[in-house]
Amino acid sequence: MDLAALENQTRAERWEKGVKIGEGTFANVYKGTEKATGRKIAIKKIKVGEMKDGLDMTALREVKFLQELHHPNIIGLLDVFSVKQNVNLVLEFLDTDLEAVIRDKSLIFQPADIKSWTAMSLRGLEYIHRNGVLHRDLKPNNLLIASTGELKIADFGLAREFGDAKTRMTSQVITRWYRPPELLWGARYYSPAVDMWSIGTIVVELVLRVPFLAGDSDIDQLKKTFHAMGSPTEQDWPGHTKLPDYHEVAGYPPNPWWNLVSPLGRDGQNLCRELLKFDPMARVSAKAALHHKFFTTGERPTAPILLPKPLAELRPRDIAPQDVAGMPDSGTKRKNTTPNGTEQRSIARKLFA
Amino acid sequence: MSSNFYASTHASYWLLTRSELQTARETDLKYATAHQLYCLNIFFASLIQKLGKRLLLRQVPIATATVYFRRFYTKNAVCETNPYLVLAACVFVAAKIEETPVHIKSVVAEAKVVFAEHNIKMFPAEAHKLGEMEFYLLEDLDFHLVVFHPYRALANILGREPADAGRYPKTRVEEDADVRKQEAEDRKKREDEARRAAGPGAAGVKALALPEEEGESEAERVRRLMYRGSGEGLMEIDEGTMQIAWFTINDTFRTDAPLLYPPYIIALAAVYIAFTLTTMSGASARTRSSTQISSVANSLETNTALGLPPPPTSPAEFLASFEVSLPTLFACVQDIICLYPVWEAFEPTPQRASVNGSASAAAAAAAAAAGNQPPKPAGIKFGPEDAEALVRRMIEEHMVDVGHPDNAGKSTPEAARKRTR
Repeated sequence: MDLAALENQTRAERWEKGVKIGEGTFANVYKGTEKATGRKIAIKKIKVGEMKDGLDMTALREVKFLQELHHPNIIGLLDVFSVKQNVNLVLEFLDTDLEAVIRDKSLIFQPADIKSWTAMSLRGLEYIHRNGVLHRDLKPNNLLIASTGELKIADFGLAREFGDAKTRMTSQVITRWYRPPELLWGARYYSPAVDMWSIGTIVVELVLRVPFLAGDSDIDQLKKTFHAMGSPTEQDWPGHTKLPDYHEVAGYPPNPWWNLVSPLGRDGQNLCRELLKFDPMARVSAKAALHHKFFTTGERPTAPILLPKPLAELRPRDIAPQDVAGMPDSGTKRKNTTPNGTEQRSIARKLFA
Repeated sequence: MSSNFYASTHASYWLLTRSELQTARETDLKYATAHQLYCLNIFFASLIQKLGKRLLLRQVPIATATVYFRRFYTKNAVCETNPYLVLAACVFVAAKIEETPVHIKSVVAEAKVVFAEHNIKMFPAEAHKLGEMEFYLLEDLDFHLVVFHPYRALANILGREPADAGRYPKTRVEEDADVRKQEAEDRKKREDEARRAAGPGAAGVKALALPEEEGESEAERVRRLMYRGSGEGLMEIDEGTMQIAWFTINDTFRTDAPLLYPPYIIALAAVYIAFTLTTMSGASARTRSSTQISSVANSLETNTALGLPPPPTSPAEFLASFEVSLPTLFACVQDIICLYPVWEAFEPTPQRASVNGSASAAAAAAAAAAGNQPPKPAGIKFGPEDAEALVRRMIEEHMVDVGHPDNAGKSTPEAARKRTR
């Protein structure tokens, strides 16, 4: 056995794989433990063997970014190893996610709890943006909650760098309900502001306990957005009529939608308005949002350990971002071929083993 | 990942030492000379470049592919693998990682064409084999996929990163005025408090044990104001020098430099070489670049207004203003200029000029002028055709040795006897 394979085996042996807890299009998630310490972990097993056209872009992106990003509010990638032809990501084990917390109607949220979740999301996001990465798929489902109550941003399957302002990117990102209007109108050049909008909708959802803007289609999403918040004027958002897929969704009168989040107080309302500005240029950045008065005045954010948490075990659920309306700009679409697990390796890693 | 190089996997795991590289190449060195291996790497890099161009990839994915290829061969030997398959897999993965994916079938098809031009028959033109190789490649890269390239560092050093220019809402003069005002206010407040604390009697006594200046030091202030990445306050570097530095960086992917040095060192080395060449040819025409954001006159004025030292005016001063280890920088320069004579002998210029412009030829002249002795080909002619043959020979000989592990390839009578028994 050569050195690389040996190294890989030693790594693989550190972890014990347990029961399956989730299934997605390109990966399954298993519960597991670290043998040496008994620490709980999650193993995300990416099905490479079944992929005739090479490894999926989403899987590659996830590995690429999680290898580089280390922050208390971002899911930790502990190890990567391979078994046969599968890539296994060893991740921190996280009990639940924000979506489950929101849906659990037996839980009651205090404004200070919402403040705490918002602060943790923004902290993680500020780090991501500072490192020149866009997440592009923020939603309650991707904000995981550790047993300590800490919130961690997960699922980097749609993430990408935004180093160069001239790069054209796809507008088919972010789950529809959390997608900002500039993407719905097909903007191909965009900024971290897209993630800020998602955070804004999530904060409102934390208050309402139902998704704020739940459109059935991209067009309906715009209608719902403007129905709730009023159609943008040239003054609110200069130049929005020049966006590639612009179509008029005018006629909705301005609406003081921030009354919906009145439990958060004046500062909370103000932060929501900053996060949900139509004009991406005017929308607050993660760094500025963290300095918002909301976090320093009034009640202090709840300590993570004291945050409300559902008692139920994490139920198995889909983890792949297949509920994203459009798939990412990957030229490598996976075909629906039957898995062929019995097939032997057709080439040796080396010419002669 | 554009910002933090120092916390990256690139910086933590993939800056190797020369002796590590040497150890990694032990197996191959049994079947080829160091010079031949060096040429092989030039050969493979050219193939990656050609394949990338056919797939309409830009320079960055091509550079990433080349670095993957080199990283892979710090854990494997050429003679134990099919380098052409590895090469295609590197291009395939790099294209995806740099967000310009190409379909696996186009990679196979284009690779077939490129390899046919070079009479390479070893490449298995099957998508599933490439898919499998992709997997091994990722494994041997330890799934560390982000590579930092010197291009960005170059743009930054030469003040051509307009992306940063917009990040500062205030001009340097305004910013400085504000900071100073703030500091003055803070100082006054502290003095007032001290006075009040000391009581009315002691009012006349000058604030006694005031902690001497919590504000920023002069050095900190200069640093804050000088290097905002906008090109403001920097030396003006003309477009020609920038171009030569850029081409030189393209060439560094044919050397070990990307494995040995962090990207900013390579970028500075390229700038150094570019300076040498432009002063040598006297072509340092001071045409003002449109990409550099502020002009020299402007920088000078601003610097004077702020009481800062003027921007450097000579290349030496400019290079000295970066606090990097000069021995490391020059080792890198040396590694780069060593390439040209070898490359020249391996792939004579006319063929190469079409790919890389005249920079390389000029740099070769510079290397010669610097009295730098490249590793001599020892009188053996060795070109791309020979490289292809060498790869085959290495693999064949290695196969023989694997079959007869007792006596590394040399057929001694003893071994012959063993075999017949």
